[in-house]
Amino acid sequence: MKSILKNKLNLFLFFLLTINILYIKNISYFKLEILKNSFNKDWIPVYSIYRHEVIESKYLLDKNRIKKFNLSKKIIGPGSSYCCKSTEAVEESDKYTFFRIITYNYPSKFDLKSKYFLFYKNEETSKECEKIDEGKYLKLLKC
Amino acid sequence: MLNQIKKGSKIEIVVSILSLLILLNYFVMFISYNSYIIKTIFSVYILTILFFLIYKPLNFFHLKITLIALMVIVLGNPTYAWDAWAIWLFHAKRILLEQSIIAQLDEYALWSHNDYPVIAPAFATSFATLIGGWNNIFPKFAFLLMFFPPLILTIKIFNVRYNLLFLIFALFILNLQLVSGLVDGLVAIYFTFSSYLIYEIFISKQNSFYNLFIAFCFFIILSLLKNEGIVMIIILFLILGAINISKEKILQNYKKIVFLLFSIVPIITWKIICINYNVKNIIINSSIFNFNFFINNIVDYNSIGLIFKFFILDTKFILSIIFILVAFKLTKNKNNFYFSLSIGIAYLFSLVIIFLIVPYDLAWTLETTASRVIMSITLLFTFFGLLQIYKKKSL
Repeated sequence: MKSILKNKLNLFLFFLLTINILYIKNISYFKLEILKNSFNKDWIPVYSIYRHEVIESKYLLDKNRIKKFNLSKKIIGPGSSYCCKSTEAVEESDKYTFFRIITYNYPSKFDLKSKYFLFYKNEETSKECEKIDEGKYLKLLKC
Repeated sequence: MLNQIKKGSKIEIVVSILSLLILLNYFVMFISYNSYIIKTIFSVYILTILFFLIYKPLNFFHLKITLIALMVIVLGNPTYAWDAWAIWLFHAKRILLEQSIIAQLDEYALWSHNDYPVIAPAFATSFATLIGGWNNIFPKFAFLLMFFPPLILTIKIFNVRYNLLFLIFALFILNLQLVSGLVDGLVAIYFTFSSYLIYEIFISKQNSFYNLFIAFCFFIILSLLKNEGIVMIIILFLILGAINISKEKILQNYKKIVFLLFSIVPIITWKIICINYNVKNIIINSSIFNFNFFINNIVDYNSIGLIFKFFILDTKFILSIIFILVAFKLTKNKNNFYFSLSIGIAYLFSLVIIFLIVPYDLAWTLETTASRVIMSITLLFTFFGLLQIYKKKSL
């Protein structure tokens, strides 16, 4: 500390370092609310996940104790399971919701053979499917 | 007893312990997931850091303040970066919940690059084990903790003023990589300091046991961070070979080189396990082994032009080149300059080759990765430029 305070050039460099740290803080998405809840295991990461559907998917699956789930074609999006090989593919496929649901809901696993489907609420579904639960953005069906 | 040890040695000991604990954590998990041992290792890591922060003779106030500030920023930031949640933290979550370091080596979520090495996710898992649960925020903190060994090592390398300068440059270059839950910043810093240690051991002839040991640990960590790390390690070994050939003493320092060669055993083991589980790298498409595909892509001048356009448009990269050239002009330190330049150029060349053979749309690949991968060379040039000036001033 003394070696910094004694020398004007060092003090100036320390000032620059502080500016640098503040700059990182400002360009990041730092929020005091996140800091307060950083170790709260039950806190819903509303700032990390920007699609409400993803957060709601966990609520629906946990509430109904479903360990293996399937997703509607609209949620999965067009193209392969990989994302993506070009800018157009990224825009077209919108894999964010699909991938985020998989990572956020783990250890509940996405399984193409599962009978439990998550659909967008406004999606048309087959009459053979039985509605189990629904939220604001998604509905859970057994097909 | 502590008072009798020199300050430089104390720093080397702290860095050695921290590096060793990162590796120990990984190897313990590799053998079996024993939560008591994992918690103990991580607790010792935290205590060693606390010792560094509190112990007065290691009086680098600005570094300690910087690290504490970064810890707060990390914990106050959401996990929004794609690779952070889709790859690194997802792998960490899988290790934690399956209680196995090879949890990702199944057919599930292939898009999350299941072949990637897991030293960083394993460290995040240990932190989660210590805390006793999982959320989206705090596991990123473990990635920041992995920055500590190389950053603490800078206290031994520079005096206060140059350490301040280095930190300013490092924060400017690494920026959000320090807090976003990505490992590219870690790759950049371990690459830079592995290169520095090689320079000290084989060119400056600093025959310190700790230098060699820390280099060995850094090599293992670097190779287990990301696939780029493997390329970097190969480059460093090739440079070592080139140094020996240029001096016409091929067997010079062979014991040290052989010792360092053992550092590639863990990554080879990981890759063999991946092959056994039939987990392939989804970027390295089998078509790259097709001779015509390879030749057609390599001689595609438009693509090469596009790659260099992306590199040249990276302001920090250009500034680092100017900085190292100015430093060389001022100091005329040929050893330092040519050593860092050869490593930088070799890595740049390998990046160009990789960009040319990836089976994805090149413009998109460059948009999403160029600034992240070039960061390693930017930090390398900046560090070695600063080192040249510091050594000249301190003569």
